[in-house]
This record gives sequence, C-alpha cells and structure tokens, in this order.
Amino acid sequence: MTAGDGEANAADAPFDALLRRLRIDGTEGVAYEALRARLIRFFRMHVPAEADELADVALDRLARKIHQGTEVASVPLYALGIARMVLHETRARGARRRAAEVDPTMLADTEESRDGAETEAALSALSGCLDAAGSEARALMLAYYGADGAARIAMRQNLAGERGISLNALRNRALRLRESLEGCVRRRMGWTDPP
Amino acid sequence: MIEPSDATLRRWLLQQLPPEDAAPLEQRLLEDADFGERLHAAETDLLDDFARGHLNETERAAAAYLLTATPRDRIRLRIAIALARLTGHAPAALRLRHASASATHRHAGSPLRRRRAAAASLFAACALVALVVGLNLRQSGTHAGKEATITLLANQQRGMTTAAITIPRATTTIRMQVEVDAGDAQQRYTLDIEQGGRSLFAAHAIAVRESGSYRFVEVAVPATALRAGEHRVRVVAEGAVPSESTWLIRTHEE
Repeated sequence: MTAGDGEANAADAPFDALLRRLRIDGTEGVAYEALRARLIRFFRMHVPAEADELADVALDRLARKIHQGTEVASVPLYALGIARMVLHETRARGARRRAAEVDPTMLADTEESRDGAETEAALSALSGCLDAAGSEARALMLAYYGADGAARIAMRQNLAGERGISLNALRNRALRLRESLEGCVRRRMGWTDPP
Repeated sequence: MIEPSDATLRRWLLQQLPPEDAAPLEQRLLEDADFGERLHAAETDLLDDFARGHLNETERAAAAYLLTATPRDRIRLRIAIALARLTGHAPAALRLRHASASATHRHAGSPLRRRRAAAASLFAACALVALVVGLNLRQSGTHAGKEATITLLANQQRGMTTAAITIPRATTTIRMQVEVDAGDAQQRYTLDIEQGGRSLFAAHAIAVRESGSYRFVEVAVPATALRAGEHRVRVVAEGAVPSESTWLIRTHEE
C-alpha cells in the first residue's frame, strides 16, 4: 500500500497523508498518538531533553515521504529508520551541547532555593493524594513501589498472587495508579506540564 | 524474540547495552505498545532507585541524564522523592539541584563550566543530598543504631552562614562528608570538631574520595560529638604548608 495510489491527493498536506496511511492500521488519531509516543520513547533513550521535538521532526519526515508516494510496508519500521537518521543528524550537530544547556543543574539559584520547601509540600500533597485514592490503592502503591532490590521482586510476586493476576497485569495496574497519583500531586502543587 | 529481563531494560535505559543488543529492542519499541509500557515501568523503578540513592556512581550519572532532562522529568523526580520519603527510603533533606561553586570553591575551568561540573558531579555522587547540608538518615548496617549523613560543601564555610541541622533523636552515628579542593590524590586531611573551644572529635590522615570533580573526605562521627549547639568543623590539608577550611554548624535534636 502506498500513499501515492488512488486515495492520495496531491493537494493534501503531508500530515493528512500520514493520517490516511495510519487509518489502515486502526483509528488514525489513536494510531498517530501511539506512534508519536513510541518515537518519543525512542528519542528519550538517547536525547531525553529533546525527545518530543525530535519525535515531531521524524513524524514530519515520515508524513512527507508518504505524501510523496514512497512505499511504506510497515509504518513503525519505516518510522524507526527515519528516527535513527534524525538521531544521527542531531548528534552530529551537537545535540549534547544543547542538552547540557538545559541541564537542570544550570537553573537559576533563585529556583533552587525553593526546592526544599517544594519537596516538603510535595510530600504533603502525595500523602493527601494517597488518602484520596482509597485504602486499597494506597496499600498497593506503597507495597508495589515501597520495596527495593530482590525484595521488590518478591513483593510484587506476592501482590500478584494475592490478587490472582499476572505480574504484567499488576505492573500495568500499578503504573496507571502511579500516573493518576502523579497527576493528583501535580494538580495539588500547581505544577503544570510544559507545553 | 526472547523477552528481555528487567535487568536488560535497566541496562538499556542506562546506555549500557551494546548497539547490537539495543537495536532489536528499539525495533520492538516501535512495533509493540506493550513493550513501551514495560520500558516505562522499568524507567519508573529506575527513577525510584535514583530518588533513594540506591544507584552506583556510573548508574547515577546515566540516570541523572535520563531522568532530569525536562521539567516534566523533574516533577516526576520530586514526586518519586516524596514517595521514597513516605516509604522510609529517602534522605530527610533533599534538593533536586545543586549549587554553585562559590568564591571559596576553587576548581579549574571557567565559572560556568566549573559550576556545571561541580553541580553535575555532586548530583551524580550524592544523588539528591542537600545543597549545603544534607541529612540522610538510614539504618546502620553495622549496628542497631541509625546513621545520618551530613554533607558540607565548599561554599558554606565560615563567614557566610551557620548551617542549622536537625539530627533525628535515634541517630547514633553521623557520616560527615566534607568537600575539599582539587589537589594531589595522595593528600591527607585532618577533620576536627570543636564546641566552645573544646575538641569533641578528631580524625587524621583521611584519604580523599572522588566522584567526578567532586572531592571529599568522609568520617564516621559519634552522634554524641554533635549534640545540640554550635560546632566548628575544620578540615586541614596535612603537610608542610597546611591549609584549612572551616564550617560552622548549629545542631539540634529532633
């Protein structure tokens, strides 16, 4: 299947062509966001400070390729090839230097001075959010994320056994709970995600 | 494809996998949504270990690069620190960032580079100990008491401010970590603690420890030597021309 066959329209924007191609794999909006999330994860492994931006660069290139009629048998694999090329180019032009410029250790001292108080406030917010989540969720969070090392593995096996679910299912449940908890803390603290 | 272990995922996150091993994982990341979730879970466990100071030096440096890159990451880290404290794993006093080298902090290089190097290496060395004075309370591995860690940085010497430190009541041993200037690796130091002109503790011929550009000496001090009150902590480079650095700290019991 190519974007250049019947369905494609030369007047369309590349983004539309990409969405149309993704529609083959499922609902295009969901598929687009899923692909973007995977690309962000890919770039995060290498250049975490620029992962979102580079994922969008890769998606733009992918969209243009599809719009130009390039045959793409597997969108994820083609996207991976583009992502690797974008990464190579980024490294070549000194991405590490730019990453260093946004190194958190370089932030202004005035901001640093708030850290201690904010950590205390975060602790209070976290306690409140755990209480609000309910006793079962609170117990799961503290048990799942409370252990270390070998005890961590044993604890999670016990938790999964007690609930009669697989470790994978437990992991996904804990992750969802944690994301919810983090969202709650962010809201209580007035921390908004950057644009 | 063989399912990678959690240890393999962690090595991948820490950039410790060879490219030929990382490549198939990258491909799976793009093709398999569930695998992305697994990686996210592995990163979250790494974040928790980072927040708890449970990584070795090499791991800390790589983890800091990954886990503090964006404002969103730093928010996650703050929350991980709070969670660690709630579950009894984290230092009692934490900061996400480290400060600056002061006028009394003499490292080679430009001020900006020096500051970044000092901050980054200290970040890597101590995970998340305090900027000026860190207090890290944990169960001692050698006896039934509690052990706390106090970190004194070069920009907190006498003439600036007196650092106030709360020492938890259960503490029996205080691990005192004091930053020293760059110098000969064979240099030895004396550390002494005085209160009201009376020497309460002294250790000699202390070797320097290093983590990146962060150089420090460390001694275990009985908590009784730092009972409530104002103390002078002095570190002297031993040799023909001794040089010393002094900190004033005021302790009180929690």
